[in-house]
Amino acid sequence: MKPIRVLAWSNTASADWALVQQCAQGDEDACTRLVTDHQRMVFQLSLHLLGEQQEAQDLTQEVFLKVFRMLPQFRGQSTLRTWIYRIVVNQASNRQRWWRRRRKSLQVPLEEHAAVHGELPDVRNFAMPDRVLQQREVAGRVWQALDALPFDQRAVIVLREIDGLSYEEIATSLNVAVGTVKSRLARARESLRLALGAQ
Amino acid sequence: MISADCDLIRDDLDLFVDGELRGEELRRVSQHIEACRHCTDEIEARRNVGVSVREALLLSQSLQVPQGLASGIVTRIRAESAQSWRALFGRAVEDWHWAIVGGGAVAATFVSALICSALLVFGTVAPRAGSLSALGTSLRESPGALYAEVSRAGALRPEVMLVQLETSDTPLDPDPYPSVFNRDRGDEEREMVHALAETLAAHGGGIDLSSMSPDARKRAEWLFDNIVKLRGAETTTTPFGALRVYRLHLVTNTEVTAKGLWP
Repeated sequence: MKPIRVLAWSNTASADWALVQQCAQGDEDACTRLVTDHQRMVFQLSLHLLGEQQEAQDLTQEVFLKVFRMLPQFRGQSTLRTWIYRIVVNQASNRQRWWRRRRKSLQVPLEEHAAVHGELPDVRNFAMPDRVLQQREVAGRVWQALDALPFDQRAVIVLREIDGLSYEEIATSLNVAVGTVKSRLARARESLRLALGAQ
Repeated sequence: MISADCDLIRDDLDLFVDGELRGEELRRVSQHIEACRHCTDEIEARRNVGVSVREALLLSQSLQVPQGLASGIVTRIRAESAQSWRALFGRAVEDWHWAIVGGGAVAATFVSALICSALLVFGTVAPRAGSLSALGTSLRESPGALYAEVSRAGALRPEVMLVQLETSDTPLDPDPYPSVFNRDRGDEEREMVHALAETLAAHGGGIDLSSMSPDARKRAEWLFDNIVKLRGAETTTTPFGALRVYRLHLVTNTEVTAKGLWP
């Protein structure tokens, strides 16, 4: 039996490693390249996990600062993309916990709000075509259903359906077993089906 | 209609939808789906969930990345690194003056510690027997010594000789030699000085005290005390000529007491 030999790293891994090394040495062009290569991915995932533009922008900055601070710890055991995904999910989880507590404490009953500020205006826009309105309505229901999911299930469904990560990549990003990804995904889909079908 | 096979592959439906099945498992699920309306609907429902999520998330929100994100982050990283400990250290060592001073202080401390350690381990060299240091040590450590300052009689300049005599720890007999000296005679003091000079000096130099017998020491001390009492004669004759005794000293540990002063 012939011994197995590693002939070379994949192009992606070696390119990631070279970029990380350049950034760690303080190469500002490399740092800029790292951000521009991954900023859309980070911002999109942040937005889908948190659901708010401003929050997602703040989280994106926070994630990249974290990435640069933790670069010396990157060992190339996963791809740079997966490693960044993990940071996004961790930071979003922390921020989401904080945001939910804050939002709960700031919630005011509708009657109380109307008593102070008057009745809410009718926000329906009758100039929009029906198709657009229907799309928006469905999107609103999906957002509502996603918001109701536990964060770990929401993260799994977003990484799978939006970012198209494989089960193994999701497991690496969330630092869980592949079996856990499978069960979370199944539960998330079931919850969404029920939520979207019931409305 | 749900069959037993539907239950068997239920857990694999999500894997099938997501393209995670391979080989035999993929073939088995595919074959079942072709023949099972219920599982086909289940797969379709899962795919619809995915489509709804993608449409909702990708179409309803602006995915425009904030302008200037990369430059802002790089600027902030640069500012942070300028504040880091490594940068502070780098600025500190830019002034080599402080590095040299600090290094010199450390080196001096190290050398001093090394010397002290060596002294503690190996100790100092013992002084030569005839050196001033040895004499001082002897003076401090000896339980007591008797000295006589003498010179040859008639000399133009006094040639002071120092003769050391160790004292005995044994208490002196108040009158150990009553038969030697007659206290009623007028020349008693002169004889005693003579006897003391003979005891303390011989052949033009001091007597080696280690060779002196305990009786001889007792005798010298007795003579010394009595001479002090009488304080009479200035010179005496010895085997090496007439000597004049100037002073007698009894040194006890560090205290020096003049017990006899000759005019």
